[in-house]
Amino acid sequence: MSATEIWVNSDGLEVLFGSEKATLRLGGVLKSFGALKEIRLKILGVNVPAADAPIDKKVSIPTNSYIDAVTSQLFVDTSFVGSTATLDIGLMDDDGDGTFSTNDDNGIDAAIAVATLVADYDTVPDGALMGTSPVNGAVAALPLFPSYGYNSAAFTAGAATLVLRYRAPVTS
Amino acid sequence: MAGHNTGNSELLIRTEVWSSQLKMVLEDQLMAAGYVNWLSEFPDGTTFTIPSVGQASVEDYIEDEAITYQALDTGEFTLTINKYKASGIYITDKAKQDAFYMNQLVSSFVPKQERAMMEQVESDVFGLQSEQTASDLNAINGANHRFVAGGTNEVMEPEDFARARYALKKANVPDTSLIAIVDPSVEYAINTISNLANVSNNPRWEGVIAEGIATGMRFVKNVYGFDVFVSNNLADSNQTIDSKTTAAGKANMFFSAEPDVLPFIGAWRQLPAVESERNKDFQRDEFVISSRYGVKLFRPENLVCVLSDTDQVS
Repeated sequence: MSATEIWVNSDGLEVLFGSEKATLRLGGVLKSFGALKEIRLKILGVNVPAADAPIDKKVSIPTNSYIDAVTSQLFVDTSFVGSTATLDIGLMDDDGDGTFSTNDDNGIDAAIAVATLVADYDTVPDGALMGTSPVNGAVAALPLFPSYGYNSAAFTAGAATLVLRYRAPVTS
Repeated sequence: MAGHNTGNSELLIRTEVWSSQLKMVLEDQLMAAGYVNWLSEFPDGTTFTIPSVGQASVEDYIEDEAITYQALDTGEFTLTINKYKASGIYITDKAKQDAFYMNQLVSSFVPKQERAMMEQVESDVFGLQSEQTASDLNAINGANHRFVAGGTNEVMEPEDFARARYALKKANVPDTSLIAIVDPSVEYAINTISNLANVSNNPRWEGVIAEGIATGMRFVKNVYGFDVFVSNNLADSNQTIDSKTTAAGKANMFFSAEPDVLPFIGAWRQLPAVESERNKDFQRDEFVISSRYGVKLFRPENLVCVLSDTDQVS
């Protein structure tokens, strides 16, 4: 995978070339019928960047959605590896032009230690944005994207599943 | 006895004879408007929006688990009618009465105004090169869409055509109807490539050295698949890109002219319209031509600009 195989065109559209087009997506929205909607995202240790970045640039929650702080879940599928690494999970604002800016880089969960991220670890994220209705600070009408980043050291392995349940704002 | 000579016949000699014809300046061939996708579905308003959608992706699926759903990326392209041009000329009755060339002069007004209008369009289209990021390689999928010519002293070399083709291919641009529009100095550089100009290898004086690479405004040979046209109307561009600088630069353009991938888009709100009227208060005839339009770079991936210096022709 090469970063140069991604190009944001003048429409604000991300265009993928070559092998980048075959990159597996890391999640999406699950079908649901109740008031709560649900997104599922795979967090791969080797993908976690140093600087805050969206987990998947196509998986977002609408601005001003209430993030459920009771039934959302972070579940570790395989243990993470990475000396003193800690994991931040937060939200980024969609700037509307193919770029993203940080809303709260650890608002979903903050500094989860690698020692904690072992297989079958199961927790309800408890960051400052949980149980609130965050609004896109860049362009109020655009969505927010779950994001991640590491502190202290990089992760070299590990996989987790983040499930965020939210109540979308009433629009009509 | 005295005869006529120039000394005593001065009054019989016309010291200056005036032609019955007016001399017009030479004009070149205009071509840019032919490479614009002129919209027909934009009858009113000033801004036209074309939504765009991105690509889909797949995920690893685990048996008996729910599949996730993702929307396609969306974007939008907007074109604005932002050019409003006019050209006005008048001639007074007194000038018409006294001017011997009046008929030729007046009949040239409208064609010249029309020509001026289309030259403005030509300049605006070629000026769209500036919608690329200045002083930057404008890389798409790792291939540069803006660079300085690779020859000595920033003149174009055949490899630049290959580089342009590479950049277009890497951006998924079809390699059909490939067009290059270059400055005449590029034609000169190609004509004088040392192994062509060195006739010791060509004692029969054949090929480019006999005919030149171009006839009229078109190269007689394709270069790496590009039909090459020559224009005097390309935009100036003096920039430093990747440590190479042009000081007398022109932005030569390379693209595919396939109708469905044209790099430029435009719309006429008002095609050049001619109006003339009699102004009795000022005792003159007035001629006006005006138009409204907009042009924009629609597909940046289908445009490669190679900057070359024009001051190396000697």
